[in-house]
This record gives sequence, structure tokens and C-alpha cells, in this order.
Amino acid sequence: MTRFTRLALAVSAFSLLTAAPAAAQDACLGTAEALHLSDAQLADVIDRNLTFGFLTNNISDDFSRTLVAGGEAYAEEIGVELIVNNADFDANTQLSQFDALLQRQVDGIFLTAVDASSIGQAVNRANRDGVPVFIVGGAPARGEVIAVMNASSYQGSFDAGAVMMDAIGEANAQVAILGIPFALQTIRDREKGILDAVGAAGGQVISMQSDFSQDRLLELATNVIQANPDLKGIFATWSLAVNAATEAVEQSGRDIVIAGYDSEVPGYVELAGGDTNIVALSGQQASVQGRAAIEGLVQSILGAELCEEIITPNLLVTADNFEDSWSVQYPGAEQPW
Amino acid sequence: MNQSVAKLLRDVMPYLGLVLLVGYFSFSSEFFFNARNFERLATDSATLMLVAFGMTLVILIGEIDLSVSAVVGLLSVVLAQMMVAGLAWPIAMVLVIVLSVAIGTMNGVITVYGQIPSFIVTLGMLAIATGLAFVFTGSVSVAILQYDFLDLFYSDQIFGLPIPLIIVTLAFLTCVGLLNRTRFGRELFAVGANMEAARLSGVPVKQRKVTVFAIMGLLVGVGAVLSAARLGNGAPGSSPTLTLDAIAAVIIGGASLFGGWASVVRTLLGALLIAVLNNGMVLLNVNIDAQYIVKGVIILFAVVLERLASGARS
Repeated sequence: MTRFTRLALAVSAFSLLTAAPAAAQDACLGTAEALHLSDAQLADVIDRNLTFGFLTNNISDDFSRTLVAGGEAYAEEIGVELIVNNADFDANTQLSQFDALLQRQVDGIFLTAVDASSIGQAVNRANRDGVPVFIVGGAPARGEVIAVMNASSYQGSFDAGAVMMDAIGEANAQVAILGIPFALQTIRDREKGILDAVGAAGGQVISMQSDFSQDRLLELATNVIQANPDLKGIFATWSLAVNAATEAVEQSGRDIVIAGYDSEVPGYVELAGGDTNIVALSGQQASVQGRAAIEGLVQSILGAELCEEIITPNLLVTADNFEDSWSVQYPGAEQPW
Repeated sequence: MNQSVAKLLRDVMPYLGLVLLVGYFSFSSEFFFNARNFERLATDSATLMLVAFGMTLVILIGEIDLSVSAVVGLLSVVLAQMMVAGLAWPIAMVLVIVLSVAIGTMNGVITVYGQIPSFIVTLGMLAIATGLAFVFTGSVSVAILQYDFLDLFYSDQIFGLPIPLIIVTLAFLTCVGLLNRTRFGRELFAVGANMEAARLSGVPVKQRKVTVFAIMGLLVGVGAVLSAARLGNGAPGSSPTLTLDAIAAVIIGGASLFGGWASVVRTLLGALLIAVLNNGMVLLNVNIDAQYIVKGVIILFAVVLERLASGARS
């Protein structure tokens, strides 16, 4: 073998080694759009009589309801039976529901986990049964999922936070965060997003409160407003916190700017009303995610490879674009204002 | 409804309800009546059953423990963190159970010697345990990566039986024996029925009550270990409905919320009824909103029967 041949072989081998992962990454399906099914695939789906489990961590907020509705509508459209269950923020309940779905011999399971690290044991069992699992929020510590679907939590939170800080327009502005005590990476990302946005604008976070219920969040927000006469802004990291912050600020009569993560009906109604303290809401496309959940499972069953993470972009909903955003976020739904 | 009929119904209901439910789900779903489903049912509801056994004793003496869900969350967090710190799981497990007995004993001591209603004491403990679990973890669950522990208490079997099922069976037999075959058990019935009469009869009422809370702590501790193994982590707030489900199991089993009458056997049936109901409704794809209504109706029905039957008893 000549020196030239050895060199050529070495270069080829190196090229193959470096190109392979990139090619694999290119080949995987990594966006909600890429998951769309072709006509041939749709015809195949109908013949298979598929049944999927669809587990939500709760059903009390608009995001979860819209996610479920998006999934149900698309499943019905393509002839997939959907078994929907709600865990009410109880990881043990979700695990039991997951087990029951495996017992029911479903063809795939999609879930918004109460706690991604709690579901590993069950995912392990699903792997043994050959049932694909598609998850929102974060990968479990044990077992393999076909993909993790995430909204752009950090960026969405940062962008809405930046609008809030801009609207406040003061150095050292005091800001409070109202959130949810939820052990999910996506929630931590939202918190990091707003902390970075406040930090970048030279503001200071003086309070971080969280709860699962809107009543309690309202109480927390009211107390924070009462205790901090110089409070200029509240950032809410999820839908019920947005509602609670809005109500608390209205009740206080103070000029406190609100931004948040999750743009749902109450937020849209506020923006449409005109006289609101909300300046920006970062909207997940729950309906798109619901459809993508079904499509992702179908794609996996049909042999396609999904990328490890599938990101669905957020909308930045403001008083200037809420009508357009509504039609994107809730396609076909009647405007509630 | 005639009171004696109500009493008969209350006595029969846990058995009848379970038989009817199992029969209905067996005929309605091809996936229900098989060994694998029953194995999962037993494993999934092990923590509920252990806690429900403890709750039976607590309710029997006319008290209540509302701290269970939060304490299970706290214990699972402590267990996971000790394992993450490198402690061998058997030692971590024993320490957690000891901690749980201490918490239960504290509930009992404050209730009895402080003469504060257990409702208030355990509500306070609920808040403390919830807060501590969140403080210890920063609201993020702690993964348990000692897989021998996870497998042992979740998927491993002895003589073809899942280990959680064996633990539940042992706890069940112990509680039944304790209540029905010992002086201690008879004294608990006496304390629950009429505390003053029991005291005048020489029953050490305060010690008995504290002991019951300590036993509750022991069962909660073991339940927390099983819950952590099942979830694969220590998570604050992982079982928010556990307390209410345990109370519901005791009530469906026909116990009197005012004390003096309870049965571990019937509590087991009540817990099984809840577990079978939850499992069957998923298998049958019952609408998620309707699931709440079904569970609520069954619990209400049980409570009404208990009230009517209490009239018959008195």
C-alpha cells in the first residue's frame, strides 16, 4: 500500500467518522413540521388500528386542555384511538395510569410527565414491551424514550421578560416571580430565562413564590404586592400564575407590569380589552404539540427516527399581535373576546 | 333506609363492591383479569395499603393523620439524598424508617400530651414536611441510581410474588393479629369507643395513642421506601392524594370517623376497591372527568352507609 493510498484511506475513514453523526442528525425528525405524515403513511395508519395512551400531568390549565384537544382532534382525524388520563400532579397516579396502559397493550404512550425522573421505571417496562414513549419536559433517568418534546422554555421566558423590563424602563427595578413548584427542567428553564432577562436589564428579583393552585397563587401575589411598595413587575412562569398575577395587580390598583409564560384565553382577553398591565406572554403552541405527539408516535411505529429533542417554537404575544397569535396558537377556535 | 339494612349493606359493601367491580371489569375488558395486571395492581397500591392500615388504627382511636402525603415525600427525598451521598441503601432505608417512626411519635406526643386535636397537629406536620422536602431538594426531584434497590422493591420477586406484595401481606397479618388477637388491640377499640371509660378501666390511654401514631410512622416509613423504589427518585409532593385515598379506603371499609370501630380487613378491601377502580377505568378508557364523579359517588355512598349504620349501632 503506497503512502498516498494510506493517506486517502485515512482521510476517507475520518470523513466517514465525522460525517456519520451529522448525517444521522440530519436524517432524524426534529421539528413539529417534520413529523407531519405523508398520504402514504396516513393510509398505512388506518390499516394498523392503532391505540395510543395520552397522559397529562393535569387538566386544570388551558395548556393541558388545548394539548389534549389537539391530540384528540388529530387522532380522530387519522383513525387512532386515544386513551386520555390526567394525573392531577400526582406522580404515583401517573405511574399507575402508565402501567394500566401497558396492560391495555397500547401501541404507544405520550405523556406530559408530573416528574420526568419518576417515570423511568415504567419507561423501562415499556421498552421491554416494545411500546414507544414520547415525553414532554425531560428524559427519564431510566429507560429510553423516542424523543423529548420541548417548547423553547428558556428563550420564551427571556423574551417575555425582556419586554417586561423594557416596559418598566427603570434601573434596579424590583421584580417578583410567581411560579410552580414543579420538578421539571422546563420549569427551571423558564425561571432561568426570566432571571437572565431581569439581570440583563439591571433589575432585581426580590421574591420568588410558587404553588399549584390559582387561589393560593393569588394570595401569594397579593402578599408580595402588599409587602413591596416599590414592586414594578411580576413575571408568571405558568398559566394559572398569569391569571393570579393579573387579578392581584387589578385588586391592588397599582401600576405593576406583568409578563408571563403561557398565553391562554384569560391572557388574550386581557390583551384584547386594552386596559391591562400585561405587556407580553410567551405562548406555547399546545395544539401543535398535541398533534405532534400523535404524529411522533406514528412516525416511530412506521420506522422513522426522531431526534432526541423536538423543539416547538413559542409565540411572543403582545397587545400588537394578539389577534394573529390567536389564530396561530388556537387554529380554528373562536376568538373569546 | 332501615338502619339494620344500612348496617348490613355497610358490612357487605366492601366485599360486594369489590366482587362487582372485578366482575364488571373482567367482562368489559380483556386486559383486566390476568396475573400480570393483578401483580401490577398490588405493586402500584402497596404504599396506599400500608398507609391505609396505619390510618385504620389512627381512625379507630378517634384521631386522624393528615401529614402522610407530605411525610412520604420528605422521607423519599431524605432516602434519595442519603443514597446520592454514598450511603448503602440498607442503612439509608433503616434510617428513614427510624425517622418516620420519630415523626409519627412526635405527632402522637404533641396530640396527646399537648391536648391538641390531631387534625391540627398533623396539618402542621404536613406543612413542615412539605417545606423541608422542597428546601432539601430546591424543588427538584433526586434520582435514585442504586438500581439493586429499585429492582428489589419494585420488580424482583420471591416465590413468584412481588416483594411489595409480600411486605403488604406481612403488614396486613401483623395489623390484623394486633387488633384482633392481643390485649393491645382490644384496648384500642376501648379507647376509640369511649376514652374516659377506657381510662377508668385501667387502659393507659395516652401511651396507647402515642404507640398508634408510632406504628403509623413505621408503616408510612416502609410505604415511603416502596414509593421511592417505584418512582425511582425522591420527590417532594410526589403523592398529594395519598392521605385522602388512605382515609377513603378506611371509610369505604366501613370504619367510623369518630373512632371505636374499624377493621383492617375491610380497609384492605377498600384500598383494593380504589386501586381496581382506578385501574379498570383506564383500561376501559372512561372519560377523565367522569372518573372523578365515579370515585366521589362511591366514597359518598360509603360515608352515608356508615352514618346510617352508626345510628343502628348506637
